[in-house]
Parts: sequence; structure tokens; C-alpha cells
Amino acid sequence: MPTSTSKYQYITCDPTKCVGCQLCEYICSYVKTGEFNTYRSRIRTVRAEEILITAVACRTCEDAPCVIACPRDALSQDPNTGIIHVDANRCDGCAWCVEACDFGAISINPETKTAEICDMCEDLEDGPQCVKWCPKEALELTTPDRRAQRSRRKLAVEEVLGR
Amino acid sequence: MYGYSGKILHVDLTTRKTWVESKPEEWYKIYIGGVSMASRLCWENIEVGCDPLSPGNPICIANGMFAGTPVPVGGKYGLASKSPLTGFIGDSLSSSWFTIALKRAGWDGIVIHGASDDWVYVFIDDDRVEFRDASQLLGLGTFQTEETIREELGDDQVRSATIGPAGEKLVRVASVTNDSRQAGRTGHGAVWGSKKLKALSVRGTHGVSVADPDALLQLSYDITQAAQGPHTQKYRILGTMANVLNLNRLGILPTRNYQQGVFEYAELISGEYLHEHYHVKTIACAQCPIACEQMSQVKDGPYAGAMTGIDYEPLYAVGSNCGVKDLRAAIKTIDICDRGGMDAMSTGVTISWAMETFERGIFTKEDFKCAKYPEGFEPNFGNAEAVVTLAEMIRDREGIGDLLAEGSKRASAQVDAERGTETWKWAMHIKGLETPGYDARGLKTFALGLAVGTRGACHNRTAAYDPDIKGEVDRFSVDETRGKLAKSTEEYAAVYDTLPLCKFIRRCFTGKADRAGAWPAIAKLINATTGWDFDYDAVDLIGERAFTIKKAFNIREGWTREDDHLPWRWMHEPMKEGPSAGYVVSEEELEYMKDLYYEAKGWTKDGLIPKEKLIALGMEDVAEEIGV
Amino acid sequence: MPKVVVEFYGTARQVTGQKEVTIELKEGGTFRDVVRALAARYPKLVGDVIQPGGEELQMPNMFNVNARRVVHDLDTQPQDGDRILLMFVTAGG
Repeated sequence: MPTSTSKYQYITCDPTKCVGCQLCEYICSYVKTGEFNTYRSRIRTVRAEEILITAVACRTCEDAPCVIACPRDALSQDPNTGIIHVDANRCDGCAWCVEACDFGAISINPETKTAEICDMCEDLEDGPQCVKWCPKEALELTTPDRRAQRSRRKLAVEEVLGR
Repeated sequence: MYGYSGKILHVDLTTRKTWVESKPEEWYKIYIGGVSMASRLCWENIEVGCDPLSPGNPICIANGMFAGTPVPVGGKYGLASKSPLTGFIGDSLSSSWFTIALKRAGWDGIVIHGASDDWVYVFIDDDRVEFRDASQLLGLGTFQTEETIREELGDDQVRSATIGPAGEKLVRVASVTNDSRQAGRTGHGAVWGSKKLKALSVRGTHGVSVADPDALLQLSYDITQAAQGPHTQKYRILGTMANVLNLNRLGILPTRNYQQGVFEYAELISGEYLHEHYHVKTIACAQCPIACEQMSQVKDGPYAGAMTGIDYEPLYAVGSNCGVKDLRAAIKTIDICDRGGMDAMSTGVTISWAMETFERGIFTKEDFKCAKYPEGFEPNFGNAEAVVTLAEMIRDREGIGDLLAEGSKRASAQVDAERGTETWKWAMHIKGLETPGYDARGLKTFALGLAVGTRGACHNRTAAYDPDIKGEVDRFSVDETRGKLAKSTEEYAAVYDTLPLCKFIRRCFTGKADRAGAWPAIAKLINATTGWDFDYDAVDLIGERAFTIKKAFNIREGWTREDDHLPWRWMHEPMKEGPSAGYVVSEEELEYMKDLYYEAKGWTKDGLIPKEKLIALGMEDVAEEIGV
Repeated sequence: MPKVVVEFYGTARQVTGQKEVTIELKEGGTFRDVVRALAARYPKLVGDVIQPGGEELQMPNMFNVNARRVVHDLDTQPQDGDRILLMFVTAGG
């Protein structure tokens, strides 16, 4: 099971809350392409088993494998946010980054033949639109550290207070 | 045109030819989508008078204008053919990814004609159509068929509507399934099976454009937020299963083939009990912010491992209605139905007919021989294993399952013809479609709504339980308001079924579910999607037109006033106990209410539609054929 | 003093954790007094089942008296011994 080593924020999904409605995909594709096409979303819902549903987007890995894999140096990582930027002039859609990503979080636009990766809506004031829209509050912008803190708190409450 | 492609895809399984039909915008403004458009396509493409299981009966699918947009609960489609159970219009709804893929592939609707010689599945890959060998899929359950096709085509974005083993064997209560949702009622699975069509698979890669995306987004966002509040609490928390205890308390929970309206073990099959013991996950259809499907799993006992989504209607049918108090057996039975591709409602109500026929001594143990029980078994009410076994036997047409697979109307007629009995008196169906989970003896407006329903006994097409249960009228008596109420509630429901939007959203527009609360908001959604200028009245007309085209279809197939009937039991056997004790719907009451209803609809006393009425609704060609 | 029993169904039962409760009313007490008593006794009902303010039921919850009739006017009076069902019935599934 691959895990992100990120110190950066990324969008995470709580599978116990996710119901698989795909509204994140609708809003993402609209924000990024101007039309509703879940095929073009940068966050993807996954229904792997009948009762296993979650959503996956870029995990902003440190020393991101996709950046390393790119033979044309089209991908770069913002050192402050961890967001992967794609230089459309250099990217030729070879999909090495797609293969390198353990999370399946990169796709190639079939028309422009360039890589598309979640940028956490960095240019929008109210942040990632998928997080804003998620009706079940399953999506969250967080870091691994913050997730760990929450897990520890939850464990403490469960073990000590038994609830 | 926004919200539509303007294109209907025709596929002929006999000749393996395909063609594209363009429809003008005016046609869409009248028939909109969902059950109305699917029924209209059926009107246009059927060989009138054909056997429902013959090549002349088309499979008609219609998307909705909101499919593929963020409009909450707009990911639904209509499916229509002539029903092999009723011989009238069989219009069903299903939802989720399949319809959205179809929309993105660029099709407003699909019409499948003819029949194939060999088992096929049809793959619609955007605008390319492929006929593919389905022999390796035969015998597979519905969910497994979908997965196998995805693997075969190598893309997890391929969505399929499929039939299970029941549809392959032309079981008349068979359904069509996609994304674990069913177009459940009226026997579509048998129609697909008669054409040797195992599945319809779609990959759609295009975007969906709407007239005013920013306005549509804002409207959708507000509804999405409202859908997390008290307006949908029942659906989100217990799901529709919350009805078990409510309806039991009102004395209208169908019990032991509608012999009773109160089930002494109701607590054990309640939504509350299910939630506490078997619930494992809540799931939404694609495009739905409510999420009502309560996935439930059996963890111990002989049915351990069974898992499926549990809703009220399947549950009453195989639970209280068969006297079954063990939720594990009920989950197993519904699992068999869902994976086998059968309508759990009609399956359960047909089984309960067989149980009563056994308890009355007409069927004997001998009649229930099967591979599992070579000596036969005794299906008394409450025998949970018998219900599970009978569901399997219906799916496989094994032993007496071959008879029961015909549905309660045909099964009872056959037994009565062979044995000189009167088992039809406890065959609970209207026009051949088995009755839903409310005993209409304690809901008189609803009784009328069911009797006049175009697809038979369906709670979803008539919402006439609403005034009864909400106490807008006295549910135990009949008065002059009932005709108008039946018209008003069925047309209200038809607006949702035609757009289509799931009715569970109906309180989320303004907090009020009535027309005044919902229609203006729905008009805004329609206008932002299509660029049209619909108002309250235009929205209201959607429902009347939908019911009119379905009724017209039935009239052309030979409908007469006598077809608007109720099961004998509801008209002659008073409820024995509980708050609804002592009541029946008498012949006189029913005929009186039918008169009121036809009058309210603007039809003749015989229930036929005047020409001028059809012309006023924009259906000139229909007026030519069946107007009086 | 009139006594009534309120039976809880669905959300109301989940929130209160109880199947029913007996409520004593003052002479002339109304259904609205029943709502007030419930809101005071089960503050968690306020929100999904009772409107904020504790005076009105939250749509679409309703009172049904003895499974026979629905209460349309909360300012009317229940009878001593009435069983008041607090439920949310809408069909579907």
C-alpha cells in the first residue's frame, strides 16, 4: 500500500463518509474544463468493492516520482505548496508520470495530450472546489501530520473513555 | 440545444443495423425525458398489439436533461417497453452512472428493435456501436456481468445495464440492473431476455454543456446543502426502511399476503433493527448528495455473506408479507433477487400467494420438490428458508418456480384452470403487477391511485398515499375530492419521473414539497440547463403529458374501464385487526372514485381521451389514433 | 390531569433512544404543550424533529392520534389516554 511522504497539504477522502456521489468530479471538471465531464476530473471516485468507496487526487509527494519520471522536464513541484505544475509546452503526453504515480492521480487529456494533475484550485479564493462541494464532508485539505494527530486523539478517546 | 444532443440512437438486433434519429426541440419540450420520453418512444416504435416477448416490442431508454450535470439526484433514466406482466406500458426508472455515461456518449435516448439469434451485448462507445458475443456472460449475476464487461473492455468507466439469470430465462418478474440500481418493475428483464440481449454497455467521454452553467451551479449547490438537513433525514439515516414501524402502527403493513395489516414481529424487521445489526455502508447513486441506499450484510447463520442494499419495498414483500421475521433471510432473499435480476416486490408477493395457496391445502408438499429438497418442503408463512428457496427456484425456473416465474396473475389463473380453484382471489396484483407495501383498505385515495395506474399497482407512479397518510383527507372513507386528488398526485409524481429527479429531493427546494414549493425552483433548473423559459404551469404540464402518453399507449393496446380494478381481497375481505380493522374498498366506492377521476382528467366516462384534450396537450398525432 | 403517551418512530426514536414517553398535561393542555414538553425533556429533538424555538414540529414530522387522525392544529387538545405517534411517513424504496 503506497503512502504519501508529503509534508504538503493534499486532498484526502474519508472512505467511511464518502457515498460515491461523484459531485467532486462534476465540480472539478467544470472548474478545469468549463463543461461537466467526470472523465476529465482531476479527483476520481473509486468503487473498488460493493461497499468500498473513496476518492483520490494528487498526494503532493516529496521528491515526487512523477517529476522525476518526466523525460522532458515538463513537471515541476512548487517548493512551497507541493503542487505539481505541468508545462504544457514541454509535455507531450508520454504518460510516464501516469505510470510513476502510485495513486493513479494523473491523467492525460485525450485532446491536448498533456498531463492533468490536481492543483488544489490554488488560484481560487475559496480553495479546492471539491472540498467545498462534498455533501458528506468526506473530502478535506490536510497534511499527513494533521491526519496523524487526529488519529491519536481519536484513539485516546476510544481507549480511555471507551466511546 | 442545451441539455440535449437532439439525437436518438436506434439499434436493430435482428439486422444488426443502427441509425440515428433527430428530434426537434418542440418534441423535447413536450416529452422532456425519463418515463415520458421513454413511453413516447415506445408509442412510436412498437408493433401495436404485439406479444411483449416478441421482436416487435422495443426497448426504449430515455435520459433526463439533468444527467451528467451537478443537479442533485438528476442522474436517472426511464426504460419503457410493453410489459410482459401487464400487457400495458411498462415504464421504469433507474439511476446512477449508466445514464450519465449514455448522456456523455451523446445520446438522449436509445431504441432497441428486433431480436438477436445469439446472445449479445451491445457496446456503445461514444458514437460507435458494437455487437459483442455474450456467451461467456450467460448465467452470471447482474453485478458480476457488469464487472466482467468492464474487465473485458479494459475500462472501469464503462457502465452497463444488464439482466441476470432470471431475465435470460424469461422470468416475467425479471428486472434490469445497472450500478446496483434496478429498473425493477413490470418485467423488463424478460423483454431483454426475449431479444437475447444480456447487457447494454456504454462509454461516454464527451462533456455535457448547459445554457447557464454558473446559475445552474449555484442552484445545485444550494439544493445540495439543503439535502443535508431535516428534509432528508429519514432517507439518510434509516433509509426507506423507517417505514416498517410507521406503516405497521397505522395497520397497513402488508402481512401474510395481505391477510393482515399488523405484523407482530415488525420490530425485528424494522429499519432501526437493520441499522443496528446489519448495516455496513450507506451509498449514493451518482449525482446524488442524499445517499439513501443502506448496504446490509448477513454475518452469521446459514445466509452469512449475503449483502445488498435494503429498501422498504423489497423488504415488506419478502419479510412481513411472507411472515418472515428474520432479517437475515430477508437480506438473503433480496440478495438473490438483486443478483439474479428480479423484482423483489413482485417475487415476494408471488411467493406469498403460493404460501397462502399451500396453507389453504391447494398446494401440497409434493408441489415443492426441488434439487435442494427432493421430498419437497412446506412453505407455511414464516418459513424463511422456504422463501429463500422459492426465490432461487423462480430465478432458475426450477420446479414450481417455473409457474411462479409467470407472476401471481398468470400463476393463479393457471392453477385455477387446472384445479378448479379460486386462488385468483388472493393473487395480489393490479393489471398483473403485484401490489406495493401499503394495504389500500386503510388508504382509500391511494386505492384509487393504484387502480387507475397505467403500469398496474405502483406506489411510485401514484403518490396518492400522501393525502391519506398526511391526514389531508380521512383515509378510511371516500368523498368527492378523491378523483382530483388522484389526478393531482399522479401528475405530481410524473413530473419527477419525467425530468427525472428522484422524489427524495422534493422538500429541499424550499422546505415545502408541494407544487408551490417545488415547481418554481424546478423551472429555474430547467431554464438554466436548456435555455428555455419554463414557468410553474409549464412544469405542471410535464406530469399531465407523461400520464397522457402512457394512458394513450394502453388504450391503443386494448385498455378498457374494467382494467382499472383492485385485488379481490381489498374489495371483499375486511381488515381483521389494528387501526384499519373492518375496512374494505367496496365495488361501489371504487366505481364512484373512478368516475370522479376520469372526470377530473377530462376524459370520458369510459376513461377514454377526447381528441381536443390531446390536441391541447400538443399530441395531435396521438389524437388521430386514439382520441374520441 | 390528562395524560398522553407519545410513541417515537424513526429519527425521534433514534434521537431519544426510547420507544415512548408518558406526558402529563395541565387541564386544557394542547398538542403544542406536548411539543414543548418533548423539547424540554429531549433537547436533541430540537433541530431534526422539532423546530428551533421548541414550539412547532419540523416538517415533515407529524403527530398522529391513535393511528386514526393527523393533528393539523397544535392548539387543539388531546384526550386523556391518547396515544400520539410522532412519525415521518413518506413512501418510497
